Amino acid sequence: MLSSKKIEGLISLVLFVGMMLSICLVIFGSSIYLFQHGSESIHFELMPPEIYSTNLYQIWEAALAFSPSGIIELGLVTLVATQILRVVLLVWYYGSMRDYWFFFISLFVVTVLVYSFFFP
Amino acid sequence: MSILCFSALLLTCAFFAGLLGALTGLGGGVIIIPVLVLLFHINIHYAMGASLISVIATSSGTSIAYLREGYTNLRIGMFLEVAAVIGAFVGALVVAFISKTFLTILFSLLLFLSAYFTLKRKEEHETDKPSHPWAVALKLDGSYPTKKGMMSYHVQKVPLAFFLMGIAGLVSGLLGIGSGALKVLAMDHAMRLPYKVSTTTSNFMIGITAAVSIGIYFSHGFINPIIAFPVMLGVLIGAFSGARLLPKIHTRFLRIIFSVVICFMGAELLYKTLSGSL
Repeated sequence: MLSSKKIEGLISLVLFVGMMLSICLVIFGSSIYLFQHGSESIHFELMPPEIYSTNLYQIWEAALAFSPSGIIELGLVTLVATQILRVVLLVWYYGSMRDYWFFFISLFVVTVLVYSFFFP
Repeated sequence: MSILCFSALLLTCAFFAGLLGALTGLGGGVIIIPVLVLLFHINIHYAMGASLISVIATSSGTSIAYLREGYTNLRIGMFLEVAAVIGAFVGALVVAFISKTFLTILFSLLLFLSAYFTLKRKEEHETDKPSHPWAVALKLDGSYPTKKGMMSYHVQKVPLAFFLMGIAGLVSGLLGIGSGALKVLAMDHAMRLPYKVSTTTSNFMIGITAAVSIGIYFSHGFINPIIAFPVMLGVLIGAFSGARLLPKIHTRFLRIIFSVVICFMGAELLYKTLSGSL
């Protein structure tokens, strides 16, 4: 059986790995972006929404195609996915402890998270 | 202005927002949004998106250490998160249908409120009263490390805290902030948790609540990666530096200065919105 100390350590580890992965992707994507476009002048008021993707599938495609904004967005999505993962760990923990109240509480939170993550 | 110069400026401002957010306990979001809107003339929707990303990053980054120290009460966090995620979901859904003018007015009101709470914050409020029946049923009581060893604490007014947390979630989704101040209010004043427990537990929850809104913000097109990356990195570095600096400096004076500054920003946002120059 897992102790609460163990699960805290595990979540902490997941957060650390997720954060590092996300930061690396964001720094990598933004370096390429700044290298390619850094000297152009900015006009963010006119920034068309087409330059970045707004759903998971597009973000994945853009990152695979090595588009800098796609890589940054993949980093941001990784950060969000880490949040889902830490609640999933809690669902598993409470499930293994047979603490049904908290199993369903965490399951509900995960459901809302996943639903909004894949929100059309 | 070149894009490189713009990103560097944004990173610098985000760094100071994160630093002050950590030092005053307000969080970076409340500070970075008016700065982005007033100084950089960025669309408030993009500002909210970038802020929310930085909120998740800060919450994850600081939770790593807090969880290992054993202050965070995961049971209280998850229980209250039920209300927070519902609030955040509704807030993020509704935000696309609200006019930017109304949103900006709401935001300036929030700045005034934050200033008030920053000044009024009390630090010690443990109580010996027995726990609320819900807290007993859900086993929410816990203990935390102190210099004298592990100290146990009781949990009060659970339904009120649950309700307040729903409001905190709603505000978070609606305005793109962590609303840590409201979350701490629920745990400090309603549940009467020890200070360290309420701040770390609120910090643990903020990332999860914000992640609910982010999914919907993505589909609204509020997440602009070009604005989000310098803000995320800047706030994160700032928050970490702030946490390091915190034990070494006197925050009382800082809080007063800071409340004046956010009141001023609130007034300017309100004035610019009402006069139509934003």
